[in-house]
Amino acid sequence: MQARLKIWRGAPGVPGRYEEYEVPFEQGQTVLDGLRWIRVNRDPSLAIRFSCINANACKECMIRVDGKTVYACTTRMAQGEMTLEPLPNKTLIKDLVTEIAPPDERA
Amino acid sequence: MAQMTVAVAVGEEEPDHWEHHLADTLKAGRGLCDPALSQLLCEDGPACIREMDSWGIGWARRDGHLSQVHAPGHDRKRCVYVDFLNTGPAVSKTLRARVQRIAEIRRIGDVLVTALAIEDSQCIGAHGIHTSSGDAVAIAAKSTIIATGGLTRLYARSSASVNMGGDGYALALRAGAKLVDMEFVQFFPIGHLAPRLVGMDPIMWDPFRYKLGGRLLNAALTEFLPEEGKYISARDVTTYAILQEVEAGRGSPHGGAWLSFQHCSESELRSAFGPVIDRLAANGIDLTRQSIEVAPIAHYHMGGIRVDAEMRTDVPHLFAAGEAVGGANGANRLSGNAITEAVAFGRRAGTRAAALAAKTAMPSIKRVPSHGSRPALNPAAAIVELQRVMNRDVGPLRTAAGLRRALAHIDSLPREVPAPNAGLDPEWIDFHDLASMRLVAECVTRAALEREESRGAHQREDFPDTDHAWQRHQAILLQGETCKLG
Repeated sequence: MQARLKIWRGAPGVPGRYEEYEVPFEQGQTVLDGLRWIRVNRDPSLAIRFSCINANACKECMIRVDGKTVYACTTRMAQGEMTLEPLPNKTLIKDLVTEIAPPDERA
Repeated sequence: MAQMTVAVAVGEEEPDHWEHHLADTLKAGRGLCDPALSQLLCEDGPACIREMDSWGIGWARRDGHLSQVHAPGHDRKRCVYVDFLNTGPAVSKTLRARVQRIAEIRRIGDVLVTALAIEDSQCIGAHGIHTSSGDAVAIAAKSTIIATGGLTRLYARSSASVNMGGDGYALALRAGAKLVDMEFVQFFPIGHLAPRLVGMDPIMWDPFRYKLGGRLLNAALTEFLPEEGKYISARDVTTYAILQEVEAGRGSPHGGAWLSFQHCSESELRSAFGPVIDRLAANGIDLTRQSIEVAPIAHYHMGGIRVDAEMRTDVPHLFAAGEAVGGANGANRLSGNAITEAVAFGRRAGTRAAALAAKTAMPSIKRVPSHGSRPALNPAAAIVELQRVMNRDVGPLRTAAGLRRALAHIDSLPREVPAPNAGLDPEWIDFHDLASMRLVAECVTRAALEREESRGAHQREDFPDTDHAWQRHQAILLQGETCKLG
């Protein structure tokens, strides 16, 4: 099966754009699996944030998928196009990564 | 992250003493535990667990006392836990909340430490990169503790988060500290294999077996361990038994074993695991009707940084704590000892580091700009390939030929870390991680090649017996670019 992930790419001071990737997947695989596949097979400069990979314990992979705020690690990939964007209410760092650390834990 | 058990001789379920816990820990370690570290874990454990109880962690209770379950390798009911599958998260949340209440403690996230600062052979702090900006960061410190966990991210099948690439070992080694017992990587035998589950930790079947027993079955639906539905076999024993079934063509469809809880009713499952049963249902799994597939998964590292019982490394003013420390669990860790070790060693290291800091002047360190060219490879792909090689050749079953093949691959990987670009540079983070993982993978593989015997988590197919002459530790020191074993 193939999914087409349309991903918002950009950084502060850089005009944003959407890039599209064809991603092969098996039944049950997640959006985070797809993003990790893109970094390994297409473009390691794609910025995503996650730590625990599959357990939904770290709560760091929150993004927008088709306009809804979700965890990338628990959202299953689907055939056809999915649009991935950074959280709109957080300060953008790069691509799908936003500032999520509490203010007193920032460098 | 720990799903359930914390082994500790609090004796609430039945009479116990830390000496009994120590005897079990030493026995499981197959003759290779550092007795002083094992004793610290077992002796200080109860006070640490009770302290966390007073901080409201919420250890499971029944009939007015802490509930303790029996885990494989323990001689009695010794393991406390937080329901449901919540032990690890509860420990980390409780400790984090305590730290947040102390105004003097400054916490900084999104900083990747790239090197320890060493002056006159003494640790004076750390250098790092603020990952969001790419800016260099220097942190001066009177004393420093490495508490970075283990190295299980080196393996394709692991229960690791992305920060488990062995960074702390690489930092310690480059600073002049010694590592010990690096060849002993524990594979958790019943890591989830199939069908695909999301939002669940792959070691989740551990608590299910504690509470409900469960039957581990081969393709012929026969129990291949003498368990009769009880969770009693040690981790190393179960890991090899599953791999032997697979090798003999009796594995489950995805190359593991079946785990069945079909003897349990829906109400038994619900009473033991409450909302977890709903999360399984959301993944399309009904344990009353189907078995799931499990297989060994890299879970913990017994080896690590060499310390004394004060948690001091070989480098003055540098301490280590938790899984980053090697030696307490010898060649095989007992179920439930990891969190006990984390809190007991953390408390000891913190106390000793604070006492040393109190009589040390604040050193000064300067930011060091990084340099180095960027190799022409995709570092994310190189990490995945290294994980595949380590799983195949330096996993639970090892041979000289496989270990040499792994060393050749490791040797082909870049050692240098390039300078980060401005802003968040995920590719640079991968180059950094790859360099640490490469170095640590070399330590594991070289130590495994040298140890020509089988013991606990280190199983050599070409040397299947335990050799009494090998009841000794191997230490590793970095000399220039070379890992030297001794």
